[in-house]
Amino acid sequence: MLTYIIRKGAMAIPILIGIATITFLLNFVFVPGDPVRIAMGTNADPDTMETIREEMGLNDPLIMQYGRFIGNAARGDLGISYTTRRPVMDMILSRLPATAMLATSAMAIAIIMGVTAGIVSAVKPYSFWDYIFMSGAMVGVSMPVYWLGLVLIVIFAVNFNLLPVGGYGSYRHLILPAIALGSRQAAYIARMTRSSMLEIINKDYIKTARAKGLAEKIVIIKHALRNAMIPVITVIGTQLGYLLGGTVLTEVTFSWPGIGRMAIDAVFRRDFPLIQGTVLFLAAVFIIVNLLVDLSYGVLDPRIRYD
Amino acid sequence: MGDTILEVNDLQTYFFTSKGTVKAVDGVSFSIEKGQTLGVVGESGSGKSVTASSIMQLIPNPPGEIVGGEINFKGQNLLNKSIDQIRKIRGNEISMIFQEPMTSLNPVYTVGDQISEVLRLHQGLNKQQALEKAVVMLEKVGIPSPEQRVHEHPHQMSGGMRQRVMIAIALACNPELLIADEPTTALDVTIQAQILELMQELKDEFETAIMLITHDLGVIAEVADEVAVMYGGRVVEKTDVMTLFKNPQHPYTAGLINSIPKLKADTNRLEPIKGIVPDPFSFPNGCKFANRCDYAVDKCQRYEPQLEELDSGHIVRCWKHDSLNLKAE
Amino acid sequence: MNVEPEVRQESIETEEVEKYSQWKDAWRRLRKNKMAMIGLGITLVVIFVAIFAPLLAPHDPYYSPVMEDGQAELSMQGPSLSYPLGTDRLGRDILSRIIYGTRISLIVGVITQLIALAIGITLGSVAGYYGGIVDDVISYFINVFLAFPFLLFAIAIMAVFQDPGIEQVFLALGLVTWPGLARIVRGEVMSLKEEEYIEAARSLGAKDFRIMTKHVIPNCLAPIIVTVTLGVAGAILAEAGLSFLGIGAQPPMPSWGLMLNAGRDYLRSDPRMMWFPGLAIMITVLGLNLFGDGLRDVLDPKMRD
Repeated sequence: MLTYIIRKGAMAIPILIGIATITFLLNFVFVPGDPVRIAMGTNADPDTMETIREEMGLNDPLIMQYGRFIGNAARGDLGISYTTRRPVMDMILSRLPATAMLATSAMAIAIIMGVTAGIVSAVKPYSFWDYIFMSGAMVGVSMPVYWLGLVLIVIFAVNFNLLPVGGYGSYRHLILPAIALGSRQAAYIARMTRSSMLEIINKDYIKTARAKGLAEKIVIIKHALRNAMIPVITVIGTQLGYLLGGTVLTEVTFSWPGIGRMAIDAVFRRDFPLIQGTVLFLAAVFIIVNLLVDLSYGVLDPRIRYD
Repeated sequence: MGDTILEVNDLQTYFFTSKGTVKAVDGVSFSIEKGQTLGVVGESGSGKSVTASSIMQLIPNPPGEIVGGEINFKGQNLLNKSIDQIRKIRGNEISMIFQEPMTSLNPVYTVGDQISEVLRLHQGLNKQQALEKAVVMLEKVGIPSPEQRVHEHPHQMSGGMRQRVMIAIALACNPELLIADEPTTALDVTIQAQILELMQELKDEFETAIMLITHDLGVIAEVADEVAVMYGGRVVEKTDVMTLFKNPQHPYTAGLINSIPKLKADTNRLEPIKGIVPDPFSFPNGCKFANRCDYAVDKCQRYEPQLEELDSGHIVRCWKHDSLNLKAE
Repeated sequence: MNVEPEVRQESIETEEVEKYSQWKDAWRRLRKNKMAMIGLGITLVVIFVAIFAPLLAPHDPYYSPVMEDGQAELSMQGPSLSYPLGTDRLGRDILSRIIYGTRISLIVGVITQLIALAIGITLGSVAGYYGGIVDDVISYFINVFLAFPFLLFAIAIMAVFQDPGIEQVFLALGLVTWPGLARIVRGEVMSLKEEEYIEAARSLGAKDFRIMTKHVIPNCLAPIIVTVTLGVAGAILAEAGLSFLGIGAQPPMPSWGLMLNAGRDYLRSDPRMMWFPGLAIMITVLGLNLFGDGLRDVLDPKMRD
């Protein structure tokens, strides 16, 4: 198990370096002209611009800048924001709790709803509930998250005045954005759980479990679900990437003060270090969570532990 | 003969599919005495596995359904019992082992967990007690160093070992009837012999009756007391094992016996039964075997023969049996 | 020596005939899949609307009576006979804008996938066909690109452009989508290149490029078609997302995402503004997803998620 963790962890490092390289290249090579000038506009004081350029090492050769960028990023230093002049990492960390809360609640909703619907559908395929859940899931994967967000706002916040339109604060602010963000993942998880469960239910060991005299509930939950979850976990991992993208849209829709909204503001202000830092940070989160997902296979499936 | 453990009367299990109804088991009757081994033999599609699953009521529904008959276990008809009552019997009084040891154990739990599960369920043992009993069972089925093996997962074991574990699970609660559905088919020949020997030993130790389903008459010859030959969802011949091999009355039985390779045979020609099993969606009206039978006459094609009792419990379903002289070679 | 290659040539042709009947068989099974047929129906309607937009739209989607002719009373009108879905703030007909929006969505979907196909097929087949270090390098790039959260990566690319617009969206989404295709093509090519008829073609002296274009690519068409169909749906959603955020298509383009963005300001006063563009996106994407799902079931049952 330990070697498995180490091997998987080691495999993530070149990917992280690759991601850092691409974000670096995107903003320092492909941006035509002087990033500081673009950020500060044409009327900026030349001396100030020169100071910033010097401060950020923009006058050094590209390869030195790259080395410094990777080295700093490895130590958690993502540079200084053009607009606020604060360390990008500090800005991200100050927004992290809001985004983490939204993303984890959405994922929790997605897993609970998706797995439940998937099991119900698989246990009685082609039944009424199967059709309801699977049509719902098909609509769910086809619906833009921000539109669902707007629909939820109009229904629950505007028409019935039950929940706030947006903003951040109590759990009541969290409900609508978490549902909007989690629904798409719930749909994917439900579809995967159903097809995986349908496959597992026909396995010989499920017949063995029934032949043991176990109650159907235990056969499904203990013997089928744990096996069926292995591919579902993969979907959860890959869907996290869409979830992180979805947080940007959801945060903008619900005026949620998270990292995603900050990134969009940074795009409009052309604050490259902040965009770069945010993208790199969230990509790293994605990779690390997927690493954890990989490791969870080892817990779920003993066959992997000994490979 | 002692007490009858299981008596199956006129069992009918049908599968209702979009392509039509398959009468997989159609009027099957037999009984098993305490401590005896009944061999059920037939080709795939003869309905032998469906009969076994019907006794356990493990027929997937839909599309399958037991539409008629009785399954009397210790004098009580299982078909009248609630599913909760059936669950108290499954794995406890009647156990089952399957053909594929490689896939019959749950890959994510240790073999100890999987043996303990039945003990905790049916005998109310706690975790510790159940695990101790699991070790004892592993030892009984001949698994070396059971204290360590009990913590292993199925993928760490060979096919033969896994089938031993399946037997340990099946016998853990000391059942009165063990249904073994092709328990050795997927195993190497040497392992097959070991597993059969083990089943014999344990049968004697636990006084368990066994219903052994197989397509292999060699296996039947080795372990069965009584034999039922199935074809096309029906029993076509039933008698004790000696009589069956010495004096088969149904042409199909004779065909099966003649297709076994024999060491001392003066001919090195094997005689497979010609033709194939008829399409289950459209069984013929007459004798199901008529289209493959060398002796079939017009009557066989038109009317299905009834089971006829010859002497001493030897029954056969054939119009022509008394005019044939089917000595096994 | 001449005889044998001829025999093999024949077997290659048999292979192609088999392929052909395989497609016919797939179509037969697809027609029985009710959901897939509904999806195909929706998709064909959307394509029809996009092609005949000028005939179907009652008004010019760009014409603003408010701005151009000072008819302020035409701003934010409710549904009426001449404006079936009402008008927006600038008095433009919402129905006409939604009808023209199908063009933008479909073009985004198609061009994005064409870019992704060009990169994905090239890199994927080169990696799968040559293997070794070439494969290692390309696979590394595929893995790095796949490790980016999809939309976030697109946002990062869009941030680079000084004045973003629909053309930049093509590029950004194409760059984000290719790795998935490349990975599929690579895997297919790797397993296909060991097959006998490829060996046969090679023994006939066919060049690598010819083998790839004539034999390998046509044989991995099934998963490519499935991925591209679902990819078009994904691209439409992503374009609408970028436009909704204000970093995709720019006004006055009748992009559905952009219309939703505008609708955000009227959630209280006039939620009608956000219902229709959202429905249009959902129906279009739903059609493609249903069709793509059906295709996957028919063409490649192994490929399920």
